Amino acid sequence: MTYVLVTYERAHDAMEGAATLVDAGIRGTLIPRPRTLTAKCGVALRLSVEDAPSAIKVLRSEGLLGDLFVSEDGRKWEALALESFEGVKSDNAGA
Amino acid sequence: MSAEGEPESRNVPDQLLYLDNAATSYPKAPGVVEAVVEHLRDIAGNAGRGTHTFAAMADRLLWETRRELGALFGTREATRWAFTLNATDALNAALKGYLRPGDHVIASPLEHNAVARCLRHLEKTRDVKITRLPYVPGMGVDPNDVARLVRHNTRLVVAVHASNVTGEILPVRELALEAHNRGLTILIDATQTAGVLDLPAEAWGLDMVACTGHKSLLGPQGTGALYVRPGLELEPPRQGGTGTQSERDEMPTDWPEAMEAGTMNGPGLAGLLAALRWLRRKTVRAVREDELVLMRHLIAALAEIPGLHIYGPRKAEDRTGLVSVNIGDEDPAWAATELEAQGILIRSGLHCAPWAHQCLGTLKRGTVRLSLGPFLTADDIDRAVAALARIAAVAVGVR
Repeated sequence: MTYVLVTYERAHDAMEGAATLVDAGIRGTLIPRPRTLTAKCGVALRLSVEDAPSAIKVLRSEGLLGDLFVSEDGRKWEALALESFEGVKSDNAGA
Repeated sequence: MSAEGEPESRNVPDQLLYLDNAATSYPKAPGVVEAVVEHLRDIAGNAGRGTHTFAAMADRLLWETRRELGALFGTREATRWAFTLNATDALNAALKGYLRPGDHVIASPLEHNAVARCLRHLEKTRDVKITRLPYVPGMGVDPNDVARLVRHNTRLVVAVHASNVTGEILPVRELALEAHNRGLTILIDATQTAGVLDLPAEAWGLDMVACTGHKSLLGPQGTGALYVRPGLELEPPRQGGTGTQSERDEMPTDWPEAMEAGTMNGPGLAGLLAALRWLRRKTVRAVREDELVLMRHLIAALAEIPGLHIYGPRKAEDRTGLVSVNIGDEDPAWAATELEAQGILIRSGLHCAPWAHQCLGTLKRGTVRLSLGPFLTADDIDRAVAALARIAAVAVGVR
């Protein structure tokens, strides 16, 4: 299963990000941050690839979008560019 | 989990298996929930503030809790038990209340950050010097090293009774003997062992003991306690109202008021009292015997999983009810996520104990920690082991 992961520098941003997705009715799961990914916060927000576009749009609009990564097995993560999500960046230009 | 032992109401869905009791115990001891509710509902008083019926009830509850702590730890003076927010609060009160500028401290190498960070702070603010006892994998800590490391300004030995990373039990009785032979005071952190291992403070000559209420004591969060032997005085951790000697604007020196400015956590301590009473009836020996049965089973089963590394002592008798493992070179965070996907709740990472991970060589990686509680069964252990085996099989490519 392919996952998208959002990492954060502050735990409060991760918590707020997760709460924001709940409010928006979008699924997101807080998991321990993979140790290969450097960030100050020990938890990260995991999204299914299906939910990722809408989740990222909401998170970005709320200023709660950290660094993005993608994994096909939950073990090896690769950096993911925001541009990978069609419409996300342009929709929020200037936000 | 079984109905045997009558744990309190369980809101965790049956498909979830909680194995993070070293972080906080769940479920709590029978009677804890009711005691907290009863206090909130039926006891309006604030201990030490007034003499009316409710205030007297609150007073008595705190006093009985001190007496139960004394019974558990083999201490006679109930006044020498001061309540704290948790073990970290108790350890801060002990270290900051005892150490003076320029003092030297000998610390165990397995200390939690509750001690390590407090000592680093005192190193910066009071020029306190810190020496860690050597750690030899497979051998552990040698109490005889205290004599070799003592300096002219050494005043304190501080040691955790059992590591929160590996469960390894430290020889605190022998450390106390070595400390006293050199005229040093000893402080023991019983966070992971209170209610599971005997720690007779007076008989073993322990000058100070810190514990928390919400882990192995099976009480509520927000409760903890510090024992300080009679005759050993500390600077109070804070100043404020105590309900005694109120004509004076200086802190009283009588214990425990000297250490307890402000309103205590009455509902939490009511829960802790219920937990302590349950433990007294059950007995520490029985809790430990049950734990050993599960731990022997767990360690033996984990040892059969290909690619799984177990940290710490191999004998269950040498550890408390927790074990840290890693699967091959896999990320503990991945293993934790996979275990949760199978309904098993554990903790991965450093467990707030970087010193211990330096000893294990796992500082950059961390570990997967499984920690047991007294209401688990062999079936629960089997389920956790089976889940770890499935994850390890994925990791090493075995199908």
